[in-house]
Parts: sequence; structure tokens; C-alpha cells
Amino acid sequence: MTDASILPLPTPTLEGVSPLYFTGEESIRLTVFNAAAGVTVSLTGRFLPVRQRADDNEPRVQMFAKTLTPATDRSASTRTEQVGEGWLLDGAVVVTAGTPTDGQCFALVELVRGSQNAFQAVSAIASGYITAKQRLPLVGDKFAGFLDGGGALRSITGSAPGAGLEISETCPTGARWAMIAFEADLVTSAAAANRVPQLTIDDGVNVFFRVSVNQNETASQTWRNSFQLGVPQTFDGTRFVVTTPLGCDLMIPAGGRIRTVTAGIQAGDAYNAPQYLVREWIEGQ
Amino acid sequence: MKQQCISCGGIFDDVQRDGMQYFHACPPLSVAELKAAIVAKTLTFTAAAQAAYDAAKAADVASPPAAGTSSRVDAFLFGLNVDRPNKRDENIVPPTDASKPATIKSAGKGVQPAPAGSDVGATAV
Repeated sequence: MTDASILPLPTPTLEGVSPLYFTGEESIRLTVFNAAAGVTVSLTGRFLPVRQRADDNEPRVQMFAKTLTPATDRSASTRTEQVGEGWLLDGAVVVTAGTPTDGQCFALVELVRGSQNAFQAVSAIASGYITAKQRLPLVGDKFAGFLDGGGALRSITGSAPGAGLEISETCPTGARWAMIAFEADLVTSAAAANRVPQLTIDDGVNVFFRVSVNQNETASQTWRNSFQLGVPQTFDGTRFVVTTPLGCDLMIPAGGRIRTVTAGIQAGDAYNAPQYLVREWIEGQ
Repeated sequence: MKQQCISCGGIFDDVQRDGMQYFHACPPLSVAELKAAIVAKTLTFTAAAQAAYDAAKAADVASPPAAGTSSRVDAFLFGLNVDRPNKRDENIVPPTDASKPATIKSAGKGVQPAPAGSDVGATAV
């Protein structure tokens, strides 16, 4: 074979194969709703700019990494970046600091138009929960909702109310809870009376669930009132443990409250800080 | 850090053991506080609630509750949901402008460091 018979091929040209084309007037916006402490999130990826003029050099793939330290109160934290004209080849939202678990840190990536703080969302690129080990890919149509997944398992220590007062725990703004267990220890004073605790759950105003313990709780004891899924009503008279069943799939919206209402409570009676187990999701607002 | 709410006296940790924030909100008035407010005439019922309260009171007089049982007035007051004056609610109001920080719903009378030895979360086995 002679040199003359070799078919001359052009130098391979870089072309955008991603549908995520940016005209140069759009930006990419990262919004994070986070509840965990010490979290930093990074939007990383590769971008291929277009060749602006025929005599320009062949464009080169550019890497980018933009960090965002989100608030820890489940409110929206955003970062918007102009990327120029070209194609977003690939990318991901990754946790670069902190250890949020599933259900604690939700990321939303959008294509937006506008400037300053007046941006209008054009399309969604990806959304879902991220963890220290689970990133959110920007390419591949990954769209999960706030309430998808198993939620974060949380054991929460509540407020110890003042003497003679009731427990009241509120599902935080931007959260949704599924109730699993709730323990409320009542330390009764020497005043003779039969105390009968009741656990109520409301939407912030109106009660939609209530259950009473099946026991008169008398003076000068520490009564361990344990409300759980899957237990019968029982009373252990040796250790003063009273178990009471909860309903299944008991969902509590943001602003909803878990409260005790105790018949016969005395001024000197005191509840310890309650301990409760919930599954928690973020509900972006 | 352990905090004490000055509005209700509740004691809580503002950061949980898992590092997450805790948002305290005061409980509604207890039955004892409601009774005190009625005596002090600082609680105003609606017409319907006043009628129910008067009926419960009259029923208790006509047929006093047995020892160890709740009175009808107590049963009525259990069902009320009255926020305490100067209620503190640390849950946030989401900002309309994402560049601004969130604010809490109601500061109430504020918080102070909890007294030494406060046993938030400490439970005997």
C-alpha cells in the first residue's frame, strides 16, 4: 500500500452530544434544602463551550466546581452560575463536607434565565436527596421528590416542660414526620390523685389522633409512658412502665404537634424531656 | 447548649445529639393555667365555649365527680387549645427572598441558659 492510497481523515472535532445546551443567556441554579449540621455541597461537572468564530481554536472541555454551604433549618439556599454558551456534558451534586443521611439534604438543579436575583426557572435538570456517599447526577434524568425514599431516622430529645405543664413538640417548618415511638416519663408529686395521660397529635390547631393510657398513675412515682407501634396496652407494676399503641403511618405535617393532655395532673407533677423516634422528610417551601 | 424558655419554663437542647437543630415551641396553657386565667378574668371564651363551660360547671354542681375522676369542667378545659401569652416558637418563617436568612415565628420572652443540673434527655433505666 502506498502513502497516496491512505484516506485522509479530519482531526476529530469535539461536538456537544448532551441535550443540555446553554445559549449563553441561561444560568445553572443549585438549590439545597438541608437539615444536617456542617454540610457543604458542590456542583461539579464538565462543560464544552461552542466555538464562537471560525478562526477560534477548537474549544476545550472545561471543569467546574461551585460550592454552597446550605442553611441547617430546611430553608432554601441557592447558588446561581453563568456558564456561557455550550453543552453541559456531565456533572453531579456532591456532599463535600458533613455527613447528611438520606432524607436530610435535598438538592434541586435548574436551568434559569435572568440576572441578579430575578431568575426564572426554565427547566429542571435533576433533583433528589444527597448523602456523603450518594451523589445526584446531572445527566440521566434523575428526578426524585421531597417525599421519596425512606426518610431520615431521627431520635429526638424534646423540651422538658415546667412543673404542672404538658409536653408539646412541634414538627419543624419544612419537615414531615412519620411517628414510630414516643416516651414521656411523668414524675408525680405526693399529691393524691389519679393522673391519666393522653397523647394527642394535631395539625397545629385541630386534634386528629388521640390515645389514652389505660392506667391511673398515682402519687410519688416515675411513670414511664411509652407509646409505640405494635405494642398492646400493658402495665408493668414493678417498674411502672405503661405501654400504649400508636396508629400505623401516623404522618405529622410541619406545624403539627405531639402533645400530652393529662387528666388529674397536679401542680407539682413534672414530665421529663420526651424522647421520640420519627422518620423525617424535607418538604421544601 | 441547654436553654430555658422564659415564656414557659421549658428546658431543651438547641442542638440535638445528631447535630441537628431543635426548634422549641411553648405548649398551650395547661388546665391549671386555664383555671387560673378564668379566675383572673384574663381568658375570654366565645359565646359557644362559655355556654359549654357554664353547662359543665352546673353539671359538676348537680352531680359532683367521684373521687379520682375528672370533673366535667376539667374535661371541657382539656379540649381547649389556648396559646400562652408571649408564646415562643422557634420554628422558622421561610424567607421570600432566598438570599436572606429565615426568622423565627415568635421570640416570646426569650431564652436563658438552663440552670445547672437540668436533666434534659436524662432518663433513669
